[in-house]
Amino acid sequence: MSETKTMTINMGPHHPATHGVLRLVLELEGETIVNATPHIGQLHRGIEKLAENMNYQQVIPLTDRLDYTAASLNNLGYCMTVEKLMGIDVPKRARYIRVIMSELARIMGHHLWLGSHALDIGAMTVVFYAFKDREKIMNINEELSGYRLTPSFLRIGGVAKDVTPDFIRSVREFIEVFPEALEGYHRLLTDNIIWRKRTMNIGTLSADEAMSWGFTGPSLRGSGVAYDVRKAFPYSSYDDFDFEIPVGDNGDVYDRYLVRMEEFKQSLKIIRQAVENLPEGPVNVDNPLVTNPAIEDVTEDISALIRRFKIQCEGPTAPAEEVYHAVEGSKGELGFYLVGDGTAQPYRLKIRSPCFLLTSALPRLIRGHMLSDVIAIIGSLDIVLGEIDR
Amino acid sequence: MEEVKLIIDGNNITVPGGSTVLEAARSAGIRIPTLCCHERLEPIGSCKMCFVQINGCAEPQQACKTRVQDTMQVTTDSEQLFSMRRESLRELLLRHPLDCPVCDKAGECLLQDLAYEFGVTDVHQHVNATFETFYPTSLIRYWPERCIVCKRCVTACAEIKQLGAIDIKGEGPTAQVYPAKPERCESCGECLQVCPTGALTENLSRYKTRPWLSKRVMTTCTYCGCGCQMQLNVMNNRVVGMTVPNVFGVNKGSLCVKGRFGYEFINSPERLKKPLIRKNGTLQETTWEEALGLVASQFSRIKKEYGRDSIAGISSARCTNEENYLFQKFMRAVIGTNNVDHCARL
Amino acid sequence: MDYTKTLDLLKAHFPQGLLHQSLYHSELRITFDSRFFTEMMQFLYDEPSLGYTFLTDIVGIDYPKRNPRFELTYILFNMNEARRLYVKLPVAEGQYIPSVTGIWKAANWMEREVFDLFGIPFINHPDLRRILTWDSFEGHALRKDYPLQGRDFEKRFDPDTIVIE
Repeated sequence: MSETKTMTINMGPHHPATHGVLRLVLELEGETIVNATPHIGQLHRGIEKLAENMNYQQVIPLTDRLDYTAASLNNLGYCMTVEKLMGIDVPKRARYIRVIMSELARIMGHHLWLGSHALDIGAMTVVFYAFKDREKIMNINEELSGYRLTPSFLRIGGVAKDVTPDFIRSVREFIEVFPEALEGYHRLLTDNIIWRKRTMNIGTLSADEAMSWGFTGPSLRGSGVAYDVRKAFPYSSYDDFDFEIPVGDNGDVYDRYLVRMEEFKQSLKIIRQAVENLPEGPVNVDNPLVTNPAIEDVTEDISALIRRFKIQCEGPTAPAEEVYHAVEGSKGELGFYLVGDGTAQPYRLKIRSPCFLLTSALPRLIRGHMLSDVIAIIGSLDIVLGEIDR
Repeated sequence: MEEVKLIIDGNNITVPGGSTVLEAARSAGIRIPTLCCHERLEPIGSCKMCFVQINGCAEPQQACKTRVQDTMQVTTDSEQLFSMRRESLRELLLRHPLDCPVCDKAGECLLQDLAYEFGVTDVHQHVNATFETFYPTSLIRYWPERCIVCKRCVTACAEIKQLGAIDIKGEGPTAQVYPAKPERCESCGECLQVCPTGALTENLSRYKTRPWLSKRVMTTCTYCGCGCQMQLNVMNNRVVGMTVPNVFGVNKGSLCVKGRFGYEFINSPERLKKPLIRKNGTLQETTWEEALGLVASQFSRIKKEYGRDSIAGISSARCTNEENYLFQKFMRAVIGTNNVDHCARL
Repeated sequence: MDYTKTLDLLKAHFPQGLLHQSLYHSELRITFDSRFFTEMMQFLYDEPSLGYTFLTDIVGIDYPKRNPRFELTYILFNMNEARRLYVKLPVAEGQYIPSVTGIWKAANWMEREVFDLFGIPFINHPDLRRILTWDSFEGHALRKDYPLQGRDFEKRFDPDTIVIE
């Protein structure tokens, strides 16, 4: 009689479809997956430990390197946590600029997901179109902040500088051309028979189970739970904007795909409203202990020089308290748990990474599927290892 | 002394009579911001930062100069006091140059800390005065524009060192420190030690480090047996400056000219780190074993040839008591002579 | 946010289990007694009128000068009413904490992370291994006494010392 033997293979950490450096040890029976063990940590840079040895302002560029596909969203989450801890209220114009930046970042993140997800499964054309359009947002980032991928544009108490009319014009141009591009993606994939066969009824997760696994973001909404931090806790003036939360029905790869495709549209809607209704006013909080004085003042005014010196070298202090604040990242609920101790450095910064929990459910999702479905499922979760390993 | 009971910010406090309100507040852990007040000096009362409100007094009083009285009720923090303090700081900053980026003190400057804490904004300088920068010692540089004329240095020179080498001249925005009796200056650096701003800086360490970059190492001065405590500022394994916390040790922050400024020998390339033996007229580096062996054999030879009283020993004041004890023990027990002397013998 | 029901029910069911409570930014933090910890967490999950069905995160904090040394914060979330609850649990060094993986599957990796970075062990955890650092890593990186540059910063990397499982 024949004897069933399982085979163990190693996928990653350098596999192109693991979206970073994820290593999966797969146990196969024929081509069916019996068991899977994810190994993470190859990208662990100790951001939480580093943050304990920096002042609050210096941590902002580190947060860019979490989910580097949508960097401004991480900035937003971190800055808002610090502001909550310090009790700072950000002016309205700054909040709107933050919303524009983070929704652009969300579109950027989804672009990367769309391109690589489709590429992994075999639809190579999409990646070129997605990256072409992603380039437009990168150019907007560059124009505004000087950086394409990691803008670090947000500051504690506001944003680095006011936006220029050129920036507004570029964003408007992008809003004009993007819906057509989005149509193009849909034409390439949504009704594509191969795409549907590769994604439908693959990696299905019920709503209850998704909640138990700590899923958030598009992956949870794909399973039919309408939870979005922007609606549940409207931060940064999100209650001013009219948008919807798309949800899926079955919780399979295809539903998660549809949810994200709809999120493109909703993000665009938010950006359009924010740009049209951008209020006038300052972009930084009026607090001499937090806001950097303008560089022109520094050459004339000793008090501005002292403030700039102290803010740059030591930074503002935060009270000995603990706060948690979450924003809707492009992958899910991105939370920061911040503990202050009365000094200018965080005592502890814990980053609640949505991808960390998505990855923890990977064995459950891929068990029983074929080897080729693994990459479809990884792609549909849209994980970024920079955020998982921190 | 009688005890006095008073209330500061709602806290009942008992202090010995004759203390100032500032001392009473500090004993209860209540902070009153000060600039000119110093632990080792009598109250000066020049900075106008320590104003407090006392029940029964119409105007705020200076906490450093007001003595406590029974049933006194003191408020140390209110909006009015906060803005008064901020205005005092703004006045002090009026003639301050834009020096923070190049000032050695920046980072541990009391004026800077307070200006940031009180959120001083919009200081537009309008003081154009010419100052005299001459200072009685070449080891310290005086920056008159940075000076807030708190008189700490003058008071320290007169009270701690009893010298009175420096004094204040001029009034208001043109006031400055000047060498009243330069011949009396001992270059002890007491004025440098108490200066709250960067108005007095050390010439040897200028531009070599930043307060937050250098490592502070507590040590004991090696120049004499007093055992003064001091703090070396070390950067890249090199001593680049000296700070002295004014609470530790026998010296409480004071040092002499050698202790405060004589630290460059530590990293001097001319410093001897290996024993030298003169061979054929030139000094050559050698090992400790060889050097000590040579000394021992020569001592034995001299002792044998000329008798033990032909050897004498002179010890150094830079050694500790224990080392000096060992040295005389060595001379008496090993060499066998009473010819022992010490450089600090009076 | 209204936490009266949460507090009332917890006090009624576990009169000794609730050590401390405080409100900050109108969010409730409660400290649990570790003896009743599992039952109380199960109760928070099961009780339909409370509905803390979502575990957002587990945060470990190291206070070297405090006794007990560590503090775990479980962030629970009621998704329908958008209400967060912070459950705190003081943990002594070497003390075993009952795992909540039986209640929330998400706790699996969260607890592994706490174990890895703080060295707090969990009972009844299905797979308690290091997760972010490698298996032969010595020490626990997020403890305050662990140096920022690592213990072996000066040491050269030697591939032979790495243990491959």
